[in-house]
Amino acid sequence: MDDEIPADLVHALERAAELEHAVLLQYLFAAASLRRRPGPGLGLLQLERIRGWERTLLAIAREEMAHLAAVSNLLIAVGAAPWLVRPGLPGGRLGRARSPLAGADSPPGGDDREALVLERFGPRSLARFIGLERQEAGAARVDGAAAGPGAGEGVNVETGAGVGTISGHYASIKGEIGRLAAEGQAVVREPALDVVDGWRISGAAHFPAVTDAASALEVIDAIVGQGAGLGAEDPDSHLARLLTIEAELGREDAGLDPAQQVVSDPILAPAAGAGSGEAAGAGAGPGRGEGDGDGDGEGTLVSDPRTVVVAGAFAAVYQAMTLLLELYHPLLAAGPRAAVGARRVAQGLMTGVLRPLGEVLAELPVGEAAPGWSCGPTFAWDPGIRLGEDRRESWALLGGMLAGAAAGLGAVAGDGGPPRLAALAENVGLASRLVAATGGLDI
Amino acid sequence: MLELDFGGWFECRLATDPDPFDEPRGVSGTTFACPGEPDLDRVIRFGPRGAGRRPGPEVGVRVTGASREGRAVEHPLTGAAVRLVGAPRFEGRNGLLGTPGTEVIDPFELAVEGAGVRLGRRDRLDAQDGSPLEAAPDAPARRAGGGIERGVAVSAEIARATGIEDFLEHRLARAEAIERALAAARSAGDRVGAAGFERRRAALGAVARMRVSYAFAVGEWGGAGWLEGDLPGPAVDLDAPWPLRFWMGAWDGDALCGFVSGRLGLAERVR
Repeated sequence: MDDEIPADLVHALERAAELEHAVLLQYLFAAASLRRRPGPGLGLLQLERIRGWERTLLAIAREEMAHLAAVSNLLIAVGAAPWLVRPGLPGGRLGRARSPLAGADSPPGGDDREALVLERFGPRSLARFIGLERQEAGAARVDGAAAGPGAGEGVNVETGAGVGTISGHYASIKGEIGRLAAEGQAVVREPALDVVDGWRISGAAHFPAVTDAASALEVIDAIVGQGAGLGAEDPDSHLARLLTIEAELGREDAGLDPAQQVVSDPILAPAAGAGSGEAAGAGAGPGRGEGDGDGDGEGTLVSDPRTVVVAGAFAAVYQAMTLLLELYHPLLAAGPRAAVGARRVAQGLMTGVLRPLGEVLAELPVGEAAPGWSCGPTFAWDPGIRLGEDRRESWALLGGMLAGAAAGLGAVAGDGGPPRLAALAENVGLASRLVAATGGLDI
Repeated sequence: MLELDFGGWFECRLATDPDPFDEPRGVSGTTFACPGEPDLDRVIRFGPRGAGRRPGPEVGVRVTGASREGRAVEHPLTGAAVRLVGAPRFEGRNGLLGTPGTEVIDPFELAVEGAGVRLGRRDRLDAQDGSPLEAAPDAPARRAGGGIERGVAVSAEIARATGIEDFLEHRLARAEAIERALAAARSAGDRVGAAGFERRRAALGAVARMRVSYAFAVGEWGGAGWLEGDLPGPAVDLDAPWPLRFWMGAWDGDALCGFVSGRLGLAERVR
C-alpha cells in the first residue's frame, strides 16, 4: 500500500477545478449581459423568451458550481485540499497548465485562453458554450476501470472530442483512479464531509459521497453526464438546453440583439503588454475580436470612475466568497456551527450580492476604451490575496475585504449611483458582520 | 384586554431563492412577474392592491371576531379591515439577514379600519428605532419569524383557516381556471396575457402546507398607538404594548398570495 498522496491525480483534479471554475464564470457573465427591460426592437414577448434563456444559463452555471464542489470533494478524498484558485481572466493561463496524466490535455480549442472568455450572450458565445458541453460527451463513454493513463487518447473516435478537451481530461482522471485501484493503492484517504446535493445546485444530477474508487468514478460520470447527458436528446443535459436556446434564437428576428452592449473581458488594470481592446466583429463586444486569441492579457480596460469602484467591489466580494469556501471544508471537519455560518455567508454573497451586482455592472459604462458599451461582472482576481495559516488573520482579511467593498458601493450609491446599489452595499455590510460572528465561532 | 382575531389572504409579489431578494421579474425561483405585470416589489399587502392575479384568492384581511378575557363579544370592529401600513417587506436578504422562515417584517405598522374608526400602531424594532440592517445583531429576532413549521397539525390549521379541504383538488381547480383564462386570452388575441397564463400553467404548484409564526408586542420599544373616531366601551390604552400573535402561510406561489391568521390584544382603561 502506497500511503503517499497521488500527486499526478491531485494535479489533474486541480486542473479540472480550474476548468469548472472558468466555465461557470462565463455562463454567469453571459447571463448578466442579457436585456431585462423592453425597448426599441424588444417587446414583452421577446423579453419573456430572453428571461427563459437567462433562467437556463443560470441553472447551468449553478450546476457547474456543483461540478466544482464535486471536484473539491474528490480532492479532499484523495488527501489534498480543494483547489479554488482562480484561473487568470482574461487571456490568462490556467495555474495548473498541464496535467501529467495526458500529454496534450489542454482545454477546448487547444488553448487555455479559449476556455476563459467573458463574453456577452449572443450567437458566438452560445456556440462556444455548445462546443464546451459537446466536448464532454466523449468522457461519458470511457470505462474508467479499463482505461489507463492517457486514456483520453481513445475518447474522440465518435465525437471528435478527446485529447485536448475537457472530456479527455476527465477521462485521464478516471484512468488514473482506475490504475491506482487496480494496483491496490488507496484512492480515498479521507471521505469529504460536504454533501454536494445539499447545496441544492445539482439540478437533475446526483453526486454521491466519495468513499472509494467506485464512487469517485461515479462522481466524474455525473459531472460529465450532466454536461452532455446521453446526447442532445437528453433534455436535462446542458447540451440539450443550450441547443434549445440556439433554436429559439434562430427563430427570432435577425435584428434582435438579446444582450446589452457589454464589452468582452473587462479588466480593472492593464496587463503587461496588453492592448485595451478594440471594436470586434458581429456578436463580440470590444475586447475580443473575431478570430483573435493572440497575446496574453487582452481585455477592455474599465476606466469610468464609478464603474471602477463598483467593479472593484464586485471583485473583492467574489474573491472573499471564494476564499470563504476554502475555509468551509476545514471548518466542516472542526465543527459544524462555524461551517454552517460560512456556508450561509457564501450563499448569501452569491445570490444576494454577486448576481445582482453583476447585473448592475452590465449597465454601467466601461469608459474610454469602448464608449457606449457597458462593463459586466469583471471577476477580477488578485493572486496576492491568499489565506494564511493563522485563522484569526484569515477571518480578519475576509471581513476587511467585505467592509471595504460595502464602503465603496455605499459611496457610489450615495453619489447618485444605480438604485439597486444601496441595498447591495447593505448586504455586503451584513455579510461582513456575519463573517465576524462566524469567525468568533471558529476561533 | 380586548382581543381582535383577524385573518385573510395577503399578497406579496416577491422573488424566491435562488433569485436575489430584489429580483424584479423572477428568473430562477418559483415566482415571477408575468409579461405586462408590474415588477415584483416584495411589499406585503393585506388589502386588495398590487397586481391582483386572477385566478387567485380574494386578497383582504379582516377582523373575524372579538373577545374579552376569553369570552366572545359583539364589537363594532368585527369585519373591519386590517392593514399593514407603508411598504412592509420580508427582510431576509438571501440569508444574510434572516434565513428562510426567520425573516423580519420591516417596517411594521398595523392598522384596523372600520365602523368609522381607525386604530393603529407602529412597532419600533429596538430602542434606537433603526432598520433591521442597522440594528444590533440580535434586535431583529424579536420581530422575526420563528422558522418554517410543517406537519399534520399545521396542515390541518391551514385547511381550517383557508377553507381549502383538499389541496390537490384546489390545485386542479386552479389549473382548470388558468386553462380557461388562457383560452380566453388566446381567443381575444391577447398574446401577452396568454404568455402569462402559459407561464403560470407551467409553474403551477399546490398551496404550501407550511407556515411561519410571529409573536411580539407592538410598541414594546415605545411609541404610542393612534386612534381616530369613537370606539364604544373601555378606552384603548395607546401607550401599553399591544400583544400580537399571528402566522403567515398557505403560500400560493401561483397567485403570489398567502394566508395570515392572528390575534391582536388591545389593553383597555376604564373611561
